[in-house]
Amino acid sequence: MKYNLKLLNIITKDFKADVVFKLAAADFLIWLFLVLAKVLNFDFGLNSAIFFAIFIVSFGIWLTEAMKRNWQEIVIFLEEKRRTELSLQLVAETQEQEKEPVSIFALFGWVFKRYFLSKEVFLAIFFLGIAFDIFLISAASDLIILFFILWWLALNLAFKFKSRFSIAVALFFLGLCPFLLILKKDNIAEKAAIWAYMFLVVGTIKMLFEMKKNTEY
Amino acid sequence: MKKFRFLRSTVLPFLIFLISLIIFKAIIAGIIFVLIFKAVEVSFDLYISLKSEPRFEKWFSLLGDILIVLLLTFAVYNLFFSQAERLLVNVFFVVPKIPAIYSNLFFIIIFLLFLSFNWQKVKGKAFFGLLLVLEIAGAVVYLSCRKEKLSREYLPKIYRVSASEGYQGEKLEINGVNFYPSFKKGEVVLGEAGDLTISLWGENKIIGVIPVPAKFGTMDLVVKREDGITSNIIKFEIKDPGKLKK
Repeated sequence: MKYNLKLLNIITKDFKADVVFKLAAADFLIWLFLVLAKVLNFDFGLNSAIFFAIFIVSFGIWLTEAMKRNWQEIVIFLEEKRRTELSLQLVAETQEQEKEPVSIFALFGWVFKRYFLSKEVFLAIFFLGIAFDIFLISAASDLIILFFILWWLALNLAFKFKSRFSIAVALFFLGLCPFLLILKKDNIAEKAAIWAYMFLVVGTIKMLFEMKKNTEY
Repeated sequence: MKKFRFLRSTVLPFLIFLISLIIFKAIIAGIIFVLIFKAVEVSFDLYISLKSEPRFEKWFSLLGDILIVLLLTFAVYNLFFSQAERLLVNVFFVVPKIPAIYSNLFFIIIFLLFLSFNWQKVKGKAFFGLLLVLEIAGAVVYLSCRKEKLSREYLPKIYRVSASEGYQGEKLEINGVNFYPSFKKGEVVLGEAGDLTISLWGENKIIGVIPVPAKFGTMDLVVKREDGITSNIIKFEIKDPGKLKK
């Protein structure tokens, strides 16, 4: 498993439910509730963005504090992880050159490459962008659609996704449409339908390539 | 036991779906209530199976505290703010809308107040009973205020008149909401004195000239929209110019 829970255990081992953590957790729940209430046309006169901002700030403060408390252990854990994941050849090379990267910057450079330039992060940002476009931007822009399609194609090429992944995403957006129409969110439903169509097109094209690749003539 | 499980997992959700379908007359409401019921059911099962585990104890305690704070905050907010908004916007016509900063600020203050309190000390049957009563009262107040707000949202309302008294021929400025645009002009009735001569008509502002009244005194000022719907009444006094000091 790529993202194991050991790091989480290190950060939360001396966990205490202090006010900052409570604030972050409660704010997150308020934000979730307000978003859900907005979808169901209930208005409490509260701005959900404010609560999301408070959640981000308070959670950031709590996480920084927790990391500061357990800094040594985190560094040791990451260094061990890096050593175990380096190929034998690379270890030999670095040992030969006597240039094994042990500085904090080198370590966090590796962490950035290993954890942030990963498939999961790219996918998460991509789908957050799509969600942002569907739910928060009212106007439909061809440039945005084109940009996301190119991004999706690049992800498909880089991480070799199967065609059924695109089709599953398309089906998800297609399934979302009737519910949004029932909730009288016509604009959002229209955008979800656009994205369903786009993913379906990409998935079908990918499927044709797969069929061609797998069939022997 | 098997019968109870069948009752809980199949019959009860179906009944919830049917009842919400009858009450709200929408399939989506039924689906949402069934989903909420299922979420509560799963959470309850999870709680029962994990509550004896020592490693989850502190998380459950934390979750309990947060839920108490949230329930209390929303109950108090709905009880006070919804009523305050109703009184200021729809009863006394002080402002067309309370600025969002006040509602957010009020909510954050009571939220922080409740968050800073240690709820472990006061937990008990009486406390949870009180919490339930507060929550129900809050929900009832919120829903009734919301219903009233929605029904009055598009009615014409006068919030401010440039003067509470004046003489014939003087200009009078009326500020409010939902008067309709200038191409759907209505009329401003000043009791027995008749209509104001309109010099400007806008969605939120009307300027008119006070007519010559049959008799002087306090009268009801009302905006009558093009569709015949009238606004709230404002008392206005037309003074006698004969009594002006020479």
